[in-house]
Amino acid sequence: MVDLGRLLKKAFIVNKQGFREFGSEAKSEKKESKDKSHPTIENFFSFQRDKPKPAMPRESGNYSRPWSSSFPSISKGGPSPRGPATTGIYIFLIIISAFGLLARSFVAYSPGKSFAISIILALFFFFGVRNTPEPKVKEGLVALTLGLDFAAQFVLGTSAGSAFENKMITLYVFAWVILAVILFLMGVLDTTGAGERLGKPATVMLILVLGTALFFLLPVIIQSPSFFQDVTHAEYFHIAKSELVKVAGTLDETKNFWYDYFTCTFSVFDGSLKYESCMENKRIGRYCEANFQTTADKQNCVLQQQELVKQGARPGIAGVVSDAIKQVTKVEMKEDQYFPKKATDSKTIYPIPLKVENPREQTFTAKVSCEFKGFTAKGEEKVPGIISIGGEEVNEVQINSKAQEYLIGCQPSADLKGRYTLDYTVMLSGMQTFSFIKRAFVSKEIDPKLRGQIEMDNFKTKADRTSQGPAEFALLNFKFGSGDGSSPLVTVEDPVTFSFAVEDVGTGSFKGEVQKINSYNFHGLWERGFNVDSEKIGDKDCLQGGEVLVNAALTKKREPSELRRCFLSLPADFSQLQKNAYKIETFVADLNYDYKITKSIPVEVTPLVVVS
Amino acid sequence: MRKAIIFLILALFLLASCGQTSERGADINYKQGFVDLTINSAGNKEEFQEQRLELPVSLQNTVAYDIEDVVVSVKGFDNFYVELYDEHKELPKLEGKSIFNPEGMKEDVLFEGMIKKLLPGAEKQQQDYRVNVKYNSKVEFSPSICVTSQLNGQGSSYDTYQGACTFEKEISYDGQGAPLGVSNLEIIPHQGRQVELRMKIENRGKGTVGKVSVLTSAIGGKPLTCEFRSDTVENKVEFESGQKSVTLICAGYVGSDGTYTTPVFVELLYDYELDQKETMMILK
Repeated sequence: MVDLGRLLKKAFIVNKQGFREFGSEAKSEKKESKDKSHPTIENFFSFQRDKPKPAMPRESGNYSRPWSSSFPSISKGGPSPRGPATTGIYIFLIIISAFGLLARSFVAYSPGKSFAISIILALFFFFGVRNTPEPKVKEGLVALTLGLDFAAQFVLGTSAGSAFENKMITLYVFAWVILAVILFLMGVLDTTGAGERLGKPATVMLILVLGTALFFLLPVIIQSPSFFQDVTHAEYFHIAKSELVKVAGTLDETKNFWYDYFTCTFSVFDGSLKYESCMENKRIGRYCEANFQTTADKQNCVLQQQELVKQGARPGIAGVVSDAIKQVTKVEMKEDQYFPKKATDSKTIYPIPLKVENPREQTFTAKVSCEFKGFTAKGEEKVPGIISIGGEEVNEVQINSKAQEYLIGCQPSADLKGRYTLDYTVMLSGMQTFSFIKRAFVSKEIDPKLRGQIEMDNFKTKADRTSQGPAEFALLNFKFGSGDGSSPLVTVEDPVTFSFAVEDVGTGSFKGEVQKINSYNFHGLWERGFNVDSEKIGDKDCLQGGEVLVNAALTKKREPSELRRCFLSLPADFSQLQKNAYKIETFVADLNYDYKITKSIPVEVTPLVVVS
Repeated sequence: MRKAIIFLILALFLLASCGQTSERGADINYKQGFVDLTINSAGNKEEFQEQRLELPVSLQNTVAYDIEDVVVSVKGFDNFYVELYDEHKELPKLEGKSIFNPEGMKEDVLFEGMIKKLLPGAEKQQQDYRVNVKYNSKVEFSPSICVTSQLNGQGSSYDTYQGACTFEKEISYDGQGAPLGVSNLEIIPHQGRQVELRMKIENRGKGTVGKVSVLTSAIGGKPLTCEFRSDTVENKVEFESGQKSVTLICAGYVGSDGTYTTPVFVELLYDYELDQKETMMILK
């Protein structure tokens, strides 16, 4: 083993020498040979290349005063930043790339600002790598990363919804971090290859990098001995992991993640080899335990959650908010100038207006609750509030008129002192919305020119091809037709697939979440003669159904996960279309759902001290 | 006296004008140019929801031939918003332009239906639809052409003055008063009195041509044998989607030797489909 290690080291040095500029090597070696008593031993360390050289053609990036000299040398092998002992630069680049990642998140990946951040990162990287060994290769990598970054930004900006979108996003988000890690690992190889020892910061960073890699790889390696033969298995792992991360954010269970991770990773040694389901079951178990009281409810919750996770891996269904629907239901909670952000009365009432615009005169209820959350030396303190609506001690109102405004009061049930976050929660039950989709029904034999004309006349924009609904809180996305149902032209001879999803599109100065689907009714389809094709596989309650539990992982996505899928049989007047006959029709569906709005306001209570 | 003279002059002027018009009508050759049927959708551009819809469509046969088996359709309405009681109307015949009817026959068709309710919360909805007309008609190609039986050494005719007329191998035409017509004729004399005519039949109308067949074909009163240059050897052809022209090859014999002018008559039957895009806004 020792011999092998030495052989590898030598190989590194030979490789490094191979990168030297032709001609310069001979000159330097001539000069060096005069000074060295043991040239063979001396040549073993590559950092000797950094010894002062006589005047000769300057290599690109080899400045007389290296820019990186301002960085501390982490290698113990020597102080020169131009040798392999430049891992400090790489660590700096990792830190910079992490800052870049944070900065992009901060600017919400807005194109202009992201572009500027990419330029700044590229400058840091270019100047950084120019002061390291073999700068050409690394500059090439930086240029390649910059190119990929720009390309990803361009593709994401111009062709949203492409098949490679997720890969593009991953590349776009992590490109610079990945480059920094690669450069760091190259630096580590350089250093160790030159027979130097890594400094402490470099060692710590290496452990972090390897640890992170191990974190992602360990469960896969343990679980899938035949990893390369079973790609789907690996995909499933990633889907489950990404699903887990999404759900974790919503269910506030991150603190349990490490416990689950280690438990599930090491429990696979017992032979079960089911890492994903182990993780998922633990999450579901905790969620249901926390949210339901009775054993029956908990068991029911577990079953439903498991079903939802399966559905979460299903394809997404796009939909858009329609500009044509002008009458939209709005619920807004916004504190006014009378709101006591700073109070001296420890039990003062905190009023907030609840404004409801209900132009379509729906009937739904709003149930309000509130809670004060504070952090004291003892830990988190939660003080429930007592709700009053319009001065009356009730917590629920029915809304049915076009515009209503209520003054919600929240009084703490105990004396407050200090800083708190006041959370108002409004559960809107029985919200109703609708969505619609337009489809053209044609025969296979239709003239291609006419087919094109129908598409041009009726489906000019992307919105025309998808379902649309009012800009409210939940959007019922659905699609049907030939293939996966995305095409607006339905070929009547082909099987017709149908699927739907619910998208959370609630926006405002609050945090919102679709809690539950009470009912869904694709009456536009079944009234017109469409039926669920019972001979084919699919959900029988595809077109009409009752309660469906949903979570943020399913609804808070650009393309929310489908909840039901089935095949439809066409009504006779559609299936009998021949040659150039065609029909165009819009189909409407209704959705009844519950939506939770949470408005958080910081308050400070400083009770007056009575001086006697 | 002066008033009487002015009256007389005016009367003479009016009489002269009327006489000239009728003479001009007789002189006009309607069977020229590539001409399409005129469709005029006279429906309102704005309609209100939950109202009865009346959609008058006016057709004027500006083609130089009668059109038959006319089917007028209104297509493309989204059935969720508009329900038409009858999407098709049939007309037996619309006479074409002639000296008796210089403007061509005009016919109005009324489509009736119902405008349904808009979506909840919507204030308007635009509907794009098409008025489609299908018909059968004919077109006549009847020029007088210079033919020759004299051939040069290579077997093709001289392109020079040969006698009573100037022989031209290729002649262009600007239509025969219909959307479909002959735009180019190539005359190829063969041994003996045999002659071959190659006609480019072109659709320069806005619509699409379906089947085309040769009804009559003759040169100098003698019948021609015609077939379309396509896979089939029949004297009919079907234009494919987007196809704009086809070549008709006719062979026959001229009546005598030498170079002289002789009439050609080719009568083609064809199916034609024309549509026109219209827009209507449904208001709340």
